[in-house]
Amino acid sequence: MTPPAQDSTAGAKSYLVAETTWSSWLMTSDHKRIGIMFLAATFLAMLLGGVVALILRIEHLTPHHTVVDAMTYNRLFTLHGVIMVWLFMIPAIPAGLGNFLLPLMLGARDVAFPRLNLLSFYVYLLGAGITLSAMLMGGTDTGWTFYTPYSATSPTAVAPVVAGVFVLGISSIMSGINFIVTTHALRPRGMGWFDMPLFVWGIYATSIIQVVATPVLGLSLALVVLDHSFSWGIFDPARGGDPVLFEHLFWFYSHPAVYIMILPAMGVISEVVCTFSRKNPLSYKAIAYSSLGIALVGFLTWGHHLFVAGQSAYASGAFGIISELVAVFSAIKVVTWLGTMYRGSIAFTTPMAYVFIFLFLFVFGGMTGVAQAAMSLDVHWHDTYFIVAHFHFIMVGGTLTGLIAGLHYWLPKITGRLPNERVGLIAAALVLMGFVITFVPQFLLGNAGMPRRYYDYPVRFQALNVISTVGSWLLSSGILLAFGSLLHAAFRGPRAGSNPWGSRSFEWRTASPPITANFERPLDLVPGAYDYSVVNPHD
Amino acid sequence: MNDTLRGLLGLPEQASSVARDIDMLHLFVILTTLLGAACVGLVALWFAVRFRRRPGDQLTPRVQANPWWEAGLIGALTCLFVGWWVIGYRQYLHLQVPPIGAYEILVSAKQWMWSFAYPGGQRSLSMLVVPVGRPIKLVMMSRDVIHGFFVPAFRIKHDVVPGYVSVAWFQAEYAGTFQILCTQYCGTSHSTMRGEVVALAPADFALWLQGSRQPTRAAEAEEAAERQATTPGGDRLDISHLAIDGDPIDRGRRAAARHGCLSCHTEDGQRHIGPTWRGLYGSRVELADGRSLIADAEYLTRCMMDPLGNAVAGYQTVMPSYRGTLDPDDAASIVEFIKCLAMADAPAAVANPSLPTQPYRVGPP
Repeated sequence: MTPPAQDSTAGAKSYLVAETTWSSWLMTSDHKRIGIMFLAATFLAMLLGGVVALILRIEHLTPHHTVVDAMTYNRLFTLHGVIMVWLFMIPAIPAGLGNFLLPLMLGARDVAFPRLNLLSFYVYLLGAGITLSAMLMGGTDTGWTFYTPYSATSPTAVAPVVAGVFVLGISSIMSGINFIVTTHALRPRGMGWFDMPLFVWGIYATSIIQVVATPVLGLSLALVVLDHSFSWGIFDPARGGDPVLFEHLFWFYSHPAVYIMILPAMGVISEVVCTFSRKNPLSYKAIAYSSLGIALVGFLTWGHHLFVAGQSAYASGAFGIISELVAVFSAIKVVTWLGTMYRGSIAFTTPMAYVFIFLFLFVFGGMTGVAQAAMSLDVHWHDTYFIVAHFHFIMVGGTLTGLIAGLHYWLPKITGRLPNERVGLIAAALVLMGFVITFVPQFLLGNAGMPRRYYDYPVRFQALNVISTVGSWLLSSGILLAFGSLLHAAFRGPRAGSNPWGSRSFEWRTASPPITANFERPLDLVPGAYDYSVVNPHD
Repeated sequence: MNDTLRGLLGLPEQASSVARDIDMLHLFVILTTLLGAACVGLVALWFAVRFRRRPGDQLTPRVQANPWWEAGLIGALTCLFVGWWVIGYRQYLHLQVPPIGAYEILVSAKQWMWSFAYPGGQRSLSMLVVPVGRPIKLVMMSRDVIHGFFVPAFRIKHDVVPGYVSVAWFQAEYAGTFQILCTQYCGTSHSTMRGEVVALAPADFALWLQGSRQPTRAAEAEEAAERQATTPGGDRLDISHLAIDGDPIDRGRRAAARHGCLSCHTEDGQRHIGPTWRGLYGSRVELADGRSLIADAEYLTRCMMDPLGNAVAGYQTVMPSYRGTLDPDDAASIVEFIKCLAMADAPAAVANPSLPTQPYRVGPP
């Protein structure tokens, strides 16, 4: 790429005010604006999915009917899963924050394919529209896993939901390709692979998974539609099909998909830890390579979802031990983040508070995952609330806290304004408390044997369910407070300088908010993105 | 110690032969997990205080990880995790392979109930009656969608996948009643697809078998009416297929004739297109792929669903798969019929299933 000419952009306005018409946003090819549109859309999806989650929790205040009937409950838990996975978790950090930051971190003017980037956003909107329109047709009750033959015979609106997810997958592939090419082709002269900020490694590894795994999801979902609407019987044993084949195909995508959701959050944590500890990462390569390791080895673990489905005991054993190994990569990251703080200069800010929450919840949630790969335990835990609690520890305790940390950290970059520290810390405390009260009881429910997707549950499970529901109110008020304070700060917060946190990372070496062309001068790569041992000439 | 921790973790009673060992691993793993998360959290907080930012603190020393430390850490973690896996996998294999000579019960799952068929032809709905202290092998089939057979007190679970023969086993350690839950989402009434395992002392079990040996039509109808009244949404449950028309063996013969089995398999010991059924059950068969095994209910059911993969040596593989066309009840009654043809040679052995001589306990330990 050609570095932007110095004189043409000198004194240019920030990307936020350079043009202000509606069409300048809707037809923009600026990665920063597209990133903000993705953040806004995924935020709305999170609100919708969160409201559904609250209804589900309220329903569980009593063992039998509380507010909705069984069929509505079954449709709502499907809706919650589909929205949170495909409309919120998968695009939020990569297509939102990733889009905004990737070119800035690489000193580039934009992503490699700016128009494909915009198309990816509209394809996302189209997919979201199709998926949510299924709600008007009554929704579907298969769970987000769409297991056959139930999904092939369910009388509900399976086809539009599945078609919507298929379209969302296309958007995800577009973003993935764009980010891979950007990382390979748009690094400036002099920036090697190990000079990039670590967030880029997280997004890069995520993009590999998106590009390789998502087509398999698309294929298997297309077959489910053919089964459901035209009785093809690919997965229906009554027509000679094989339901376990669907489980294999589905998890070949959906297990790596959990790494699509967590790897970008890990990238955020790497950045926040270094900036607020003013320290170089204890081992840059350990973090970078472990991202790749998770992305690659993560492809070989899908069979651990089938330990009780009847696959060969030897296959199960192999999937079990590989699943144990993939956890080692995550553990390396955790220890490296801890070591990064050692002898640092740690500022206990809101983003850093979320890092502490992330560390505790992710280690506990992650190790309960390792525990399930100790296979006899999975036999008891499989499809119980233990699993529900485990993946919410990773997805909410990991990804969502990572996202909130990142939003607080980069808010000055995106809007030029500072978040409110006091409100931010109160919200973080609420999130931690609410989270623990919501999900720890669910571990115990799973131990006691309460299966997931249960509208009606045995009375002995009621006390823990009530505690969990009360926790969900605390958790949601914490999340609302955090996002409310961020939104308020985005418009009314005090002005931040170009580099309010004193970070050495490259995205801070331009104005905040940046100009449309990102950099007025070619990015200066000295000192390195994590070199806190020398004085920064850019300060 | 065991009971206190089990109570803290919310684990149910340990009613099966495997529960105690699995819970020990559970305790080990969860305590390590808690310890790990607490250590990471505390170290992070300690660093946050010890290395808190002070005014003028602009530069920090460059600290790099020692590669030996890194390698040691990776090695230690790998050993810990693989250690968990080794224990867990051994237990998993133990759960996956039913002991030889286990008492076989055919399980049929449908939306939204469980039914059970015993070796002597007895049947029960939603209530699985078993003797204490004897391994019970469940040969499970589904009539419609995937279900999950889960008994928390036994720490066992297995999906029941339509078109497949799913096998699980357990051994109840003491008499009692233990809940069965469905763990694979199967439609509107998934959460009420429950049942119970009733474990009886061997003598009581023998009495129960005798009492339900010849279910009369009146008793069946009574049970059906009761079930209609107590099951939510019961008016939509179809239980007509569970009523026994006369002798279960007759029923098996009629099912075999209807599905064309008897055109290739004889009842009188003569070799035909397929192996004869007389004396087949319980005998050792050599398979075309070199395996050698005892023809039990599981093998016979697998043959119906996947004849190519289970062909007996010396016969042409012309049998079609009955996956999807043979419903679990027909399959179960054909297996019963084949068993009776073996009984003809040795009636005493099967008519009075031998009960275990191992000691057993009544009530929780």
